[in-house]
Amino acid sequence: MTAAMEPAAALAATTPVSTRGPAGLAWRRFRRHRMAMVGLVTLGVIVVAALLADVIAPHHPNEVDLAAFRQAPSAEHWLGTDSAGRDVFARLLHAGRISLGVGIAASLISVAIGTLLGAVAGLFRGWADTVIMRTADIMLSFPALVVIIVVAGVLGPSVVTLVLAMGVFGWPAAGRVVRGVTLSVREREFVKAARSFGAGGWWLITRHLVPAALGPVTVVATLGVAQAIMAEATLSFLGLGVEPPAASWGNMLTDAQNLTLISSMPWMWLPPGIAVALTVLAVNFVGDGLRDALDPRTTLGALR
Amino acid sequence: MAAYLVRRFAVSVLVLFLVTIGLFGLVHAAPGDPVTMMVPVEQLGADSADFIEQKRHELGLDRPLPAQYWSWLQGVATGDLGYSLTNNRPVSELLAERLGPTIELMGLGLALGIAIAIPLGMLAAVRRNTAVDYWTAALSLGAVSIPGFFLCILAIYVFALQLGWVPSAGMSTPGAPSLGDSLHHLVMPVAILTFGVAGPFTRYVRSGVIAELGSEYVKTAESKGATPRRILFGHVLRNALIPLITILGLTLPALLVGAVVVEQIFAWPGMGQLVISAVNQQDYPVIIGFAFFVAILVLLSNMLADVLYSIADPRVSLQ
Repeated sequence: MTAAMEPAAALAATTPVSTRGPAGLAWRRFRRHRMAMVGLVTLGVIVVAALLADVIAPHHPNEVDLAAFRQAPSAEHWLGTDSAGRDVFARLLHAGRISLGVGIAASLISVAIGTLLGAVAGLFRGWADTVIMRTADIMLSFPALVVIIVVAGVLGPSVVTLVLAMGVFGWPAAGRVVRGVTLSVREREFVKAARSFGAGGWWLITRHLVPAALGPVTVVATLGVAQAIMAEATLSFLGLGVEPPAASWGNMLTDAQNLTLISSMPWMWLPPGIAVALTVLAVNFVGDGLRDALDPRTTLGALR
Repeated sequence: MAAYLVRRFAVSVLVLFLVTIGLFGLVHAAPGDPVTMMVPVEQLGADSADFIEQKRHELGLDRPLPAQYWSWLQGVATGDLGYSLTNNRPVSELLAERLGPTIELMGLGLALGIAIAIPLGMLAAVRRNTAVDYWTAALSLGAVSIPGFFLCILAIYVFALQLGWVPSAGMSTPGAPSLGDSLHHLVMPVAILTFGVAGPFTRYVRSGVIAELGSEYVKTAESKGATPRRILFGHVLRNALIPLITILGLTLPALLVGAVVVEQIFAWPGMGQLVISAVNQQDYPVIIGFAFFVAILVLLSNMLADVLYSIADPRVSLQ
């Protein structure tokens, strides 16, 4: 039995070496990045904890228990209870779902818009390029958070407004990167060949430009998630994002603007604040690791 | 240079014009009808329809949208930003009286942040891959990753409540104004903004100095026997600081975000606090006025950064 399995195991161990593609090479570089791996593991723990919130936390996040409000951490309530008697630990985990979800959704929207506009600008050049990139410059110079404060302040706070506003205002970062990649790829032989066969703009973008830009775009998207999580937390803290009773890491701290609460009940505001900082830090480390692993210059160096 | 300035100014005016269209559209998309809100709830009935119609006509709200936009724009161009819905004071007056405290906070935070970032960034660049470099990196990373509002609350907990070194809120102690007292109140909010500025700036200074240290003129200076001190301060630093002008132009408006959070938590009577209370009371004219202020600040600081850049670096000619 064991004798029969050994050759198969040996084969499985050797196969990746012979079929190591660009992704495999990138993963190998990523693994050598110590802080990136620490970030990845931390992020993994946070994501799993948020996904399994119902299983891990014994209480419901919105369950109000007025008989047990502002209680210190105990065996019953691991991180105590808040001003409405809700379990802080349960809220912390459920808030993670919203904060991570908002961050990922906003970043995906901005990357999708940025990739499309960047590819169009780089591929067609001319006035389309000028208009798109000038708009990107102008949008980059406006502080996104102030814009969202104004939009959410007039239209009223909601998660959908928040995600859309962050998504729409975040595209210039991805747009610039994709345009840069497009400008270099459009002169390559395979693109010229595709064009000579009559490939249109959409075909070139989806089949050639997007795959070429996937590496740098992944980095931009990852760092975008960190920024969006931070922005969501800040806006929710100011009362302009996720609205109670739904928990988000930002709005869990809104209550903590009261001095007695800050001084005597740190279990209410310390955990969500640490959660944001830890998540943003972990995502930034992963992003840095990805940048080093996917950087085209180092890839070129390895090929030479 | 003059031609460039004129064109640049024209572009800025165009952008500002687009911003006004956006803001006008935003206010129109806002939920709620301002005229219906003017009618007292107890009088709101079937017969109030005529009154609302008449009021709408008086206010010009029954005219086509472009016409409404045009008259609104004329008001804005002459500095008439409308009146606050909560206390009926002119928005321009409200903004003007909040400007001072915000500039005080932002200006000090920016100045101190840069004053710390330049020597720290240089040190990290010269002592690359040593303990100093790693600690500055950790500090910058902290400044980027720790949410400002959490840092504020943490600072209040440690320095105001546990240690009792500084007051937890406000600009001065009521009834006992003095310079020392004002400075005492300034310490914590300014320190937090300084940290937020110095964090990323240290990284920019570091990478700028490292890039310049590898350039040809450094080798030339070395071969001519210039001391490391002379190379660093006489040659490298000046070149490394030029790109910072552009970043400074982008940082200035972004600093407003930090100011909003800091003012809200430390009850600092500046623009940030004004806009958050306006948001909570759905006071549109004040929010829009604030948005205008930000748009003008952004466009001016970008223009200023471009001009300063061409002065600092003669190789860049503005055309």
